[in-house]
Amino acid sequence: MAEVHATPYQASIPYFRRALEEITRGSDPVTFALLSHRDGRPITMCSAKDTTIPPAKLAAMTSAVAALSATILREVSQDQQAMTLIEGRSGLFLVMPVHGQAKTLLLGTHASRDTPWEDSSAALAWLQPKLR
Amino acid sequence: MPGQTYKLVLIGESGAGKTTCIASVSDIPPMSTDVPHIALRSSDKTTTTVAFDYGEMILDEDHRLLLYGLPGQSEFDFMFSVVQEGVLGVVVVVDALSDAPLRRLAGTLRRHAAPLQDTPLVVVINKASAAHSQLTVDVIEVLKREGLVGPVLSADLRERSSIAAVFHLITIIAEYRHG
Repeated sequence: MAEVHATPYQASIPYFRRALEEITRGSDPVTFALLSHRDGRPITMCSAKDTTIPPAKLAAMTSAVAALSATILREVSQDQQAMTLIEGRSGLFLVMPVHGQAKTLLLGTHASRDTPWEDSSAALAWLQPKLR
Repeated sequence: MPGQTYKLVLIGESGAGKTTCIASVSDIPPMSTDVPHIALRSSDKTTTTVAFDYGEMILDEDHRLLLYGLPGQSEFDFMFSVVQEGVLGVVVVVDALSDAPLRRLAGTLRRHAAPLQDTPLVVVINKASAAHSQLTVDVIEVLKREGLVGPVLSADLRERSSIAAVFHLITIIAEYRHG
C-alpha cells in the first residue's frame, strides 16, 4: 500500500485505507484503488496485485480524466459529472468524485472484466457500500 | 471551420501565467481544467490546471492560433505527449515574480528535453518589470546549459500582441529549420 504526500486529510487516512482495503480485498476482480485530491495529489492507494505505476502519476492521470470529463459535460449540456467509466478490452477504470458535499477527492478504481460492472450505475452500486 | 490553424503549446511552472494568457487572448470561450488546489503555503495559488487549457486566437480571417496550456506540476508531464501531435512551437513561460524562476525553468526544460530538441521554442519572461533586466541574461544561460536555442523576450502574455509576436518568432524558427 502506498501513502504519499502531505494532505489535509492526514487524520482520515486510516479510514480511507480501510475503505480501499474493503474494495480490493479477497477474490474480487478489483486490482487497485486510489484515493487522491482533485488537483492530482495522491493520498493513499491499495493494490490487490503488484502495480508498477507510481501513485503520483496515476493520481495525476485520474485527475486529468475527471477534469476533462466534467468539462465536456459542463460545456455541451451544463450537466454535472457523476463519474467516468473507461472501458478496455480486459478491464475497466472508474473515476468517481467522493467525500462530502464538495466531492473534493477522487476515487480511481481498476478492475478486470470479471467485475459485475455492466455500466457505471452498477459500478456505483457495487462500490458505495464499501465506502461507508 | 475554414482557415489555416497553428498549434502552440504553453509550458512552464505552475502560476507562470499560462491559464491567464489563454483566458485573456482567446477569441472563443476558453476551455479550462482548473480545479481547487489545497495550498500548502500561503503564497500558493488556490487553483491549478490538471489537464490542459485550450483557446483560439484569430490572427486574421484566414489564420488561427490553437493554444494549449499544460499544467505546471511535474506529475502532469505526460500531457505533453497527449497534445504534441501537430505542434508548431512551444512557448516556455517564465514567471519573473517566482521565488526561483531559473531553477523552475531548468526543471521545465529538463522534463520536456526530448520534444524541445525538435520543436521551435520561444521563452517568454512574464510579469517582468525593468528590475528584471538581468533575468533575461540568466534565462539565456539556462537555455545554453540545457542545450537549447531560442529567442528570449519579456512580455505581458495577457496581451494579444505578445502572442502574435511569439507566433511570428516561432514561424521564423520553423522556416529556418526546414530550410
